[in-house]
Amino acid sequence: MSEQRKTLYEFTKGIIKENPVLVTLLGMCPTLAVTVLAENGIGMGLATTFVLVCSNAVISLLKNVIPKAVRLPCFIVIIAGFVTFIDFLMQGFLPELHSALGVFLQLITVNCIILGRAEAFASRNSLGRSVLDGLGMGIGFTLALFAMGSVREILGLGSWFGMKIPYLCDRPMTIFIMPAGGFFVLGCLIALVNKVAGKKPPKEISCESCPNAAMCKGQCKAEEGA
Amino acid sequence: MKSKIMPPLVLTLICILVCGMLVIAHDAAHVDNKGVMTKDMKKGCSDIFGEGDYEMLTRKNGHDTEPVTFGEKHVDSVIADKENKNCLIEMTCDGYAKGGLHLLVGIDKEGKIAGLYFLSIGETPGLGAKVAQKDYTDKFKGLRAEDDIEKIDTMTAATYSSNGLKKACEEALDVYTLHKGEIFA
Repeated sequence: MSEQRKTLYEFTKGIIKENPVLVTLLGMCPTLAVTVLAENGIGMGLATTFVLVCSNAVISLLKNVIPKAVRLPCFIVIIAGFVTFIDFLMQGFLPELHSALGVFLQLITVNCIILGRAEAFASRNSLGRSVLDGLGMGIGFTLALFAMGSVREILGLGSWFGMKIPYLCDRPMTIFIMPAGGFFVLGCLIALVNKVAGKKPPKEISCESCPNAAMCKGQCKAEEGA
Repeated sequence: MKSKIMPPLVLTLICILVCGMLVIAHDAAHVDNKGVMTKDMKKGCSDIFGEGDYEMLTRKNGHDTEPVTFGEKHVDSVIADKENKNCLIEMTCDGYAKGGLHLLVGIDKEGKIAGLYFLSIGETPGLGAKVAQKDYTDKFKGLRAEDDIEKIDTMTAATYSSNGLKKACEEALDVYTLHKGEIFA
């Protein structure tokens, strides 16, 4: 792969192929909790994108300075700094959105997408590539939340961005704005993305990709056989 | 030795740097609305009572000006039209969400609720947020402190939010009754 294509791939991979919500299933709490409205989805997505890009950039710049022993506390402090900053901005200029996002805005600090990208990518790559990775992942996260919010708002409230949709606004399906509806819409979107990306289920689930392999030591396979 | 000193030193330096930057960011981004009537509040006043000379009650606390709350937990500020003896009490009460109901309770010169105006609502859209609909808020119009607000039916699928709204109205009427003299002084 040429250098230019590699750089472009860092940006595009987060949008569909490695979408943090719909493919790697990270950041599920805010995804299910705040996507009752399309507007909330965009607000949460953009706030997370800002934190992702800024924290990736700073962590990439400081990767040679931060000792390995304290890398995670350092990452958390940097991420928390940007989250507090975006929290100040929203509280001051977008109080309604701030109130709608509630505690999930502050919880961006421990969002596994951000910490995951910091640990797996930004701390090992150059500034430019880290920023592109953060931007791509952020856009992917925003698009997923926007899609979730749109579907739930249209079906559950019969409106989109507050605009009433004829017929649906008189017959809203309230289940879609409740937690069960969130899971249902998420499942449908994951299925759709798998179809579009042509992803196939693994023929065999092996111990290599299992996170519990160290503890289990193949015990589950033995039980299955018995 | 270096391996023992460097990690905490770097972490401390990063913490100091982030804290310093946050202080600057706070000063740059903080919008102090204390004691200031926002556009939305002015709209709420005119929606409930029409045009008038509305003024937020404030007091000096050292160098700062802060809104008068009469020491009540859920009262954010009190707005008065002294000429027409109308009063609006800004309340933030818990519904299903903590602090999910942020509204103005308008009380006329007879001590009756003249109307409610929501400044923001953090309740679940389609469920708790329905308490902000006009057909429900109109049920509170004309109620006095001595009336039993509990008699008003709660909204289906919005019980917590309805109870929060009732509590907000009860507290606003109590504040008005207790401090009427000070509000229009």
